[in-house]
Amino acid sequence: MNPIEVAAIVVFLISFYGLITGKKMIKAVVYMVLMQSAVIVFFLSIGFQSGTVPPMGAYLEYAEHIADPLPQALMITAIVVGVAVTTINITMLMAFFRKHPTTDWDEARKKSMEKEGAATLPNLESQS
Amino acid sequence: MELTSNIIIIIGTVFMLFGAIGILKFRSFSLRVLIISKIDTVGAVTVVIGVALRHGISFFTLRVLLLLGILLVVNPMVTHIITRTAHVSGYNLEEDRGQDDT
Amino acid sequence: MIPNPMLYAILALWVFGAVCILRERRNVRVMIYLFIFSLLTSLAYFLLGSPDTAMAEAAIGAFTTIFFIVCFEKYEALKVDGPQPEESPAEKRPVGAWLKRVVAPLLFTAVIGALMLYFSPGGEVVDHLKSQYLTQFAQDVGGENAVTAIYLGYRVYDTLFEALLLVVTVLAVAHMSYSTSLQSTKQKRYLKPSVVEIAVVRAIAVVILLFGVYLIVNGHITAGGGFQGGLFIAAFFVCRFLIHNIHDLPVYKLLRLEEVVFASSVLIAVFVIFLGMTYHLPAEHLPMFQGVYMVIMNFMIGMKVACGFTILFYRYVTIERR
Repeated sequence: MNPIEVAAIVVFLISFYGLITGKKMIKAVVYMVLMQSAVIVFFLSIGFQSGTVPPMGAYLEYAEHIADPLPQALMITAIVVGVAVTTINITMLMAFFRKHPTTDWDEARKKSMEKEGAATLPNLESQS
Repeated sequence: MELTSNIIIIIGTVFMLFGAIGILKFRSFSLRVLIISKIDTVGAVTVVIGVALRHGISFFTLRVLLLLGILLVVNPMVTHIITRTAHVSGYNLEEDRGQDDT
Repeated sequence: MIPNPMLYAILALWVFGAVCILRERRNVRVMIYLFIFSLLTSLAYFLLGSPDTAMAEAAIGAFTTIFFIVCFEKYEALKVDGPQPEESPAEKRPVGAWLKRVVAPLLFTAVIGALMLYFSPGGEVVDHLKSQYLTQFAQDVGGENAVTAIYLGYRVYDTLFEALLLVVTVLAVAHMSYSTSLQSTKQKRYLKPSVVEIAVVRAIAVVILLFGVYLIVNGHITAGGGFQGGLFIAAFFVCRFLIHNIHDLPVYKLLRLEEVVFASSVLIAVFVIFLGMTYHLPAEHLPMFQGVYMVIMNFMIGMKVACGFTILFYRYVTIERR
């Protein structure tokens, strides 16, 4: 079993566990960053052997093991998508914090339930 | 040349090791900042000089020397910013009795 | 050659960093751990043989940390993150809740992990495309960097959609973030930079800008490319903000510029790649044309990324303040 893949899977599972048990919103955003880098390490470790060199320049002439260029090109795209997701998450977090001043998932759910319960119950009655 | 550069790199890493031990040992802010500045300047500069000596006169050495210049300019500034921000935001050195910082 | 023990040490530290983030309660320390984690990730990428990704990750880690810290600076309460969890004694807590909160997610995670470990390929992937790309890219796309050749030649469609995604993100952040008027931005004063800071940052900013331009121009020969160079150019604008304390950057004009640059990069890619312009050229002019195409595309992507991240930074710093 490849130890690099095992390390990537372990980090992915740690952040997954944090996502489903954590109580803070900021740490949820952080765990998503962690999951993304774990996935990228998993992809880059495909076909990795000891002594792999980057696929560029003079290495292409004489090197024995050259890294696979396709996952690297895809992973640069993945990094950009990841940072886009992170910035959107931060913006949504700030907007939420402005509306309900809390960052705890349970408290936020309670508060929004209170507000929505006051607002939506009459609507339901009028519809039925 | 090889042996000299190896000795210099080992000296630099020993500086960094002492710095790491110092950070774990001391608890007060001012002592920690002092130690961090030692790691940043003395340790890093020594290691970079060792790396530059190992490769002789080449284009690689030129780039390493450029890196050395950037390190010499930036690292003291970082320590300066940390200390100045602590001073401006009202950190009192007199009450610094080594509690765990929050 | 890459020493394997160093890679394994870095990976062990990497997993330890994730555990530290899981265990930490204070948000500011989580941010510091995140920054160290992303530096370790960048080192791991480099040792796995992809300096392009490593450079992008290092710059991205710095920018993500800056965004988080600016978010904390806007809302002081996020730094403390609510009341500290009251230390309820263990016997008061019912066993069922503990089962529900800790054991069941742990079991779920363990099952998923066992499945993933069982079905993981284990390094025995047969890569048919690798040899084809490595032998063909110099004639097909040009340049000496196979990664740049793939994301500007074979898979330019991916790159265009990624650029579109970044444009949409910047638009969303610029319109979703809270903005009343520019008057409110001047209420809270920043700390004025000292003389040392101004002198050093002014000198370093030029070096950063030159490095960004170097990465963009040499992106098809060595490691680097449009995205990484654009991030460094955005860092140059962040340095300018630190020195001069500019608060009224014309954000919407920059947004227009970014859209125009994106549209022109799409046009260039359509004309060169999709319409197959390279096949109609005489063979002796082909390498020069390919080099010019790659430099121009890298420059477009770099300009777009630089505009986007400058807008994000200024948007987070100047507006969204109460």
